[in-house]
Amino acid sequence: MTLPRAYEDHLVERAKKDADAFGELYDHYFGQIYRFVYSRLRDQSAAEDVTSEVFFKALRAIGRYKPSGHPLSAWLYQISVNAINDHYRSKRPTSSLDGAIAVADPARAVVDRVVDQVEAARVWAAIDDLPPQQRTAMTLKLGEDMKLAQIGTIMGKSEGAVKLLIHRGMIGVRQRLGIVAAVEEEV
Amino acid sequence: MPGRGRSGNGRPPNGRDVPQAWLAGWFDPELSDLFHDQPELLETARLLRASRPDAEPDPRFRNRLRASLVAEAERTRARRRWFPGPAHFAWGGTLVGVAAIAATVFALFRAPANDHQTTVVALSNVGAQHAVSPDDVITIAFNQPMDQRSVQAGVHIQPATQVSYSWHGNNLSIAPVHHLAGNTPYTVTIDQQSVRASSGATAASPIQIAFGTASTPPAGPKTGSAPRLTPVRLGPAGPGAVLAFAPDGSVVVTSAVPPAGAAAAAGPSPSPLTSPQSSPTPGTTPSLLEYPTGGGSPVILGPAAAAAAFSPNGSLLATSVAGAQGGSDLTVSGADGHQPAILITSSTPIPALSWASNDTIVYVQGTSTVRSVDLSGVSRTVATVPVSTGSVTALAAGGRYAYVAPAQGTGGLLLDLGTGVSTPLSGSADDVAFSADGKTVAWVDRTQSSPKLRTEPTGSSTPLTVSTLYPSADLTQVALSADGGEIAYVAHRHPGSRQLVVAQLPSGAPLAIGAPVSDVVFAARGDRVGFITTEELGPTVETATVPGASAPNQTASGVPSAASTALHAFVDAQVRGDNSVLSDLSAADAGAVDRTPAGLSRAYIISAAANPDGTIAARVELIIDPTSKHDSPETADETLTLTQGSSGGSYIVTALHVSALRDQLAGPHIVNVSTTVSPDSLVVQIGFDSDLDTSTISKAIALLSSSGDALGATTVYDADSRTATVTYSGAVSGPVTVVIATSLRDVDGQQLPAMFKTRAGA
Repeated sequence: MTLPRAYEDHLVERAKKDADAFGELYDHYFGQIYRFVYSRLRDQSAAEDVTSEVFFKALRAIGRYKPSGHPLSAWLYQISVNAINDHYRSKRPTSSLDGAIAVADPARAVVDRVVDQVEAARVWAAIDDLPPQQRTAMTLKLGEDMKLAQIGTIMGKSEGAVKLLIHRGMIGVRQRLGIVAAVEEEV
Repeated sequence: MPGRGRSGNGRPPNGRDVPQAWLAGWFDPELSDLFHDQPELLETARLLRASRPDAEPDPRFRNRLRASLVAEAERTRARRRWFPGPAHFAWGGTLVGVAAIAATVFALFRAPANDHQTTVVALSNVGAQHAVSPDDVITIAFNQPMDQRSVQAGVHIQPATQVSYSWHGNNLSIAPVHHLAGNTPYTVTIDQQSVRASSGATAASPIQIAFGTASTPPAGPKTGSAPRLTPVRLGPAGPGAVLAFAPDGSVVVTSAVPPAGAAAAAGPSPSPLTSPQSSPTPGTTPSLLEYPTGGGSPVILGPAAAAAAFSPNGSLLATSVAGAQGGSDLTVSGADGHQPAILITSSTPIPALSWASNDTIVYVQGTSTVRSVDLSGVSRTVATVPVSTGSVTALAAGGRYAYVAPAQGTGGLLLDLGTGVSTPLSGSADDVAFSADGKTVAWVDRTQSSPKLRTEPTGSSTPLTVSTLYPSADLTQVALSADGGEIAYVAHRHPGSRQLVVAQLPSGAPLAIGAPVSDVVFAARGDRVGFITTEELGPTVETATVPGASAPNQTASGVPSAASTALHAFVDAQVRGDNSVLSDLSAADAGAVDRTPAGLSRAYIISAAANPDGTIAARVELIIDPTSKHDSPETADETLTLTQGSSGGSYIVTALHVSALRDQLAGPHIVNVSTTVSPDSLVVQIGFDSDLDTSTISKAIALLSSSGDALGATTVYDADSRTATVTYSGAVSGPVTVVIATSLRDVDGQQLPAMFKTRAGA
C-alpha cells in the first residue's frame, strides 16, 4: 500500500507541526516497519522495542526531513536498518541455524518443504547468519517485496551492488540450508 | 502456506487483469532476471519468500505506541509554540501567517505601558482567527467602562455588514443581522477618536481586528431560504433495508413486508442455472419490493436481499439473498423480477455487489474477498484484503473500485481492483459513497474535531473539501448522484437536531433540506431522491423531487461536472500551496506553480463558462488575509483555461494568468456568478460579500445579449444569502453578458470599486 507522493509530502509537512498528521503517517507505515523489524529479529518483544525506537527517532527527526524524491518509507526503513543493527550490536542474536540445517530434506521439492510455520521459521532463519548487508538486502527483497532501486536507496548503494548482495546472500542461504550439497549429490 | 498474504510484487497487471499475487502465485521480474541462468537460486528465493515470517503486530502495542507518539508530538509542539494561535487551520494558512496576525492585533490594541488606568485596552474573541463561524457574534472586551454611543459610532466593518450592538458590562457584542459571509476576510475598525472610555480615557491607536470566516457556500441559500423537500410516502421498509432506483424511476427497497395488494412478479425460470425455490407472498415474509414510479401497488421482485443493483443497461437485477447456514445466494433476474436464477451460492454472506458490465457482477464475499462472476456462473477472485487491513464495505458501480473500511478507527482505503493499488481516504470510516458512474467518491473525514465532507475523482488522490450547511455538525448518510454533481448527507447539529441536506457539488451550495433519514439514494438524473425515514409505524420509504437539480453531467452553467471538479481542486491546491497537486492538475507549460502567489488564505471562484471549442474559462479571485505587516487583504485576479484530455477524460489547467497582488478596495465585491439556462429562461445568481443597499441593485445589474442589447430581466435580492437573482424569461441564443455598474452600493454607501462584466451561460 503506497501513499500518493503528493499526499505524502503534504502529510509530512503537516506532521512537522501537527501531531495528528504524524499519527496518520504512523497509521500508514506502522505495519510495514513492524513486519520488517520482526522479519529481522523474529522476536515479538524485541521487534516491539525496535519499532518503538524507529518511530520515536522519526518523530524527533521529522522536522529536519526533506523529501528527496523517495517515499518516506525509504527514510523509515533506513532508520529501521540502523536501529536493528544497534540492537544486534547490543545483543547478539540467539537464534540458531542448527535447526534449519537439520530439517532440510533435499529429497523433497523445496517449496513443498514449507508446510508449516515451524519449518518456515527455520528456513527464514538461514538469513540471520549472513553478513549484515546481505541480510538487510535479502530481507527487504524477500520480506518486503521491494524493488532493487528502493533497496539501494535505503542502503545507500547502487542497484548493481544490491544485486551482488542478494546473489551472494542467496548462495549463502543455500549453503546454510544444505541445499547446495544436496543438489551436488543429485547431480 | 505460511506467509503474510500481502499483495506482493506481482506481475504488473494489464488493464483489469488479475495480478498473479492475488491468485496466490509469486513472480518477481527482477529476481527472475537476476537468476535467469541460475534457476536453483530462483528456487531458493521462492523458498525464502514462502517462508517469510507471519508477523501480525499486537494491536494493543500498536495503539499504545501511537498514543505515546502523538502525546510526545503534542508536547514537542507545545514547547515550540510561541503564540496563542488556534489548533487547526483548515483554511490553509500557515503558522507563521497566523502568528503575524496575532501580533497585529496585540500591537493595535496595546496600551502604552506606563498607564493602564487611563488608556483603553481591548481584546476580541475573533481576532487573528481564520475559520470563524459565519454564525458567530463579534465580541470586543474593553478594560474599563466605555462611552457606548461613541464606540458604536466609530465601528466600520469591511465588507459592509448590517449589525446590531449590545453591551454586557465592558464587552461590546456586534451581531450581524444576516450572519457573516463565509470564506471571507473581515476587518473591523473602530476609529481612534471614538474609542473613548466613560472616564475620558482614549486608545493609543485605532482598534483594528482582522479575521476570516470558515468556508460555507458563498452564494448558496442558508437554512431559512433553502427549499424543503416535499416527500411522497411510498410504503414500509424493513429493518436495515437499503434503496435503489430502478431504470424506470421506481424505487426498490431490499427488504420490506409486502403490504396488502402487493403483486408478485417472479415467475418460473427457464434458466439452466438454479432457480430459487420459492417466492414470497404478500403480507408474510420480508421481500424485495418495488414501489412504481407512477404510484400504484408495490410489486414483489423476490425475497428480501442484503444488496441489489441493476445492470448498466437496466435489463437485469442482481441481488444477494440470505442462503443456508449464514451464506448468501447471488441471484440475477430480469429488472422486473422475472426469471430469477442463482448464479452463486456462497457459504459466507455477500454484503455488497455491483455490475462491472452488462454481463459481469463484482461482489464482496465475507468481509475481505472481492470476486466476480459472469452470467454463465464462472467466477474468480479479484482481490483479497488482509483481515488486519479492514473490511470491504462498498463497491463502485463499474466494479473498478472498492472501499476498504479500517479495522478500527479511521483511515480507510480506496482499492483499485484493476491495478491492486490502494490510496487512503483521509479520516474515512463508514460514511463513504460512490457516484453511479464510478468516477467520484465522497466520504466523511473524521481526523479533525469537526467532521469534513470530502470528494475526489476516484483514483486521483486530489481530495476536495465540500462546504456543508453547518460547519461544526456531525455528518452521516453520505450519498452521491449518478454523475457526482450532487451530494446528500445528514447533518447532526446537536442531539435531536438532524437534517437531510441535498447540495450541489463541488460548491456544497444546498439545493434542499429535509427531515433526517437512515438511507438515501439519488435517481439517475439527480432530480429525485429516495430515502427511508423513521415514523411511529416504523421505517418508511419516501421519495422527493430535488428543487434546482441540474442536468446530468453538467453544472447549471453548462460546465461539465468533471471540469468543475478539476477547477475547484486546482484552486483548492493553490490556496493550500500544494505544488504537487498543482502540477498534476495543470499542463507543464502553464506555469501553475510559478504563477501562484505564495501565502494565499482563500479564493473565490467567481465564474466558469464553456467556450465554443469545449475549453472552460474560469475567473478566480485569490486572497491573502491581513498580516502584521499588511493590514488589509490583498487580492489578485486570475483567469484559467481548462482543457479536457485527448482521451475525453479529466480536465487540466492549460493556461492561467494572474494579476499582480493589490490591496482589496473598499466596497462590495462579487464572489460568485452562476447561471442556469433552460429553453425558455435564463437565471443568473450573483453572490456578494457585503450587505447591499437594495435601492441600487436592480438599476446596477443588466443582462446584455450577444448583440449588446439589454435583456428585460427582473432582479430579486435575498439579503440573507447576499445573492441577487436575475431572471430573463425567454429563449436565449448565444452568450449573455452580465454587467454590474459602479452605481451598486453597499449599506455603508460604498460603490462597487469597478464595473464588473462576465459571460453567463454557454
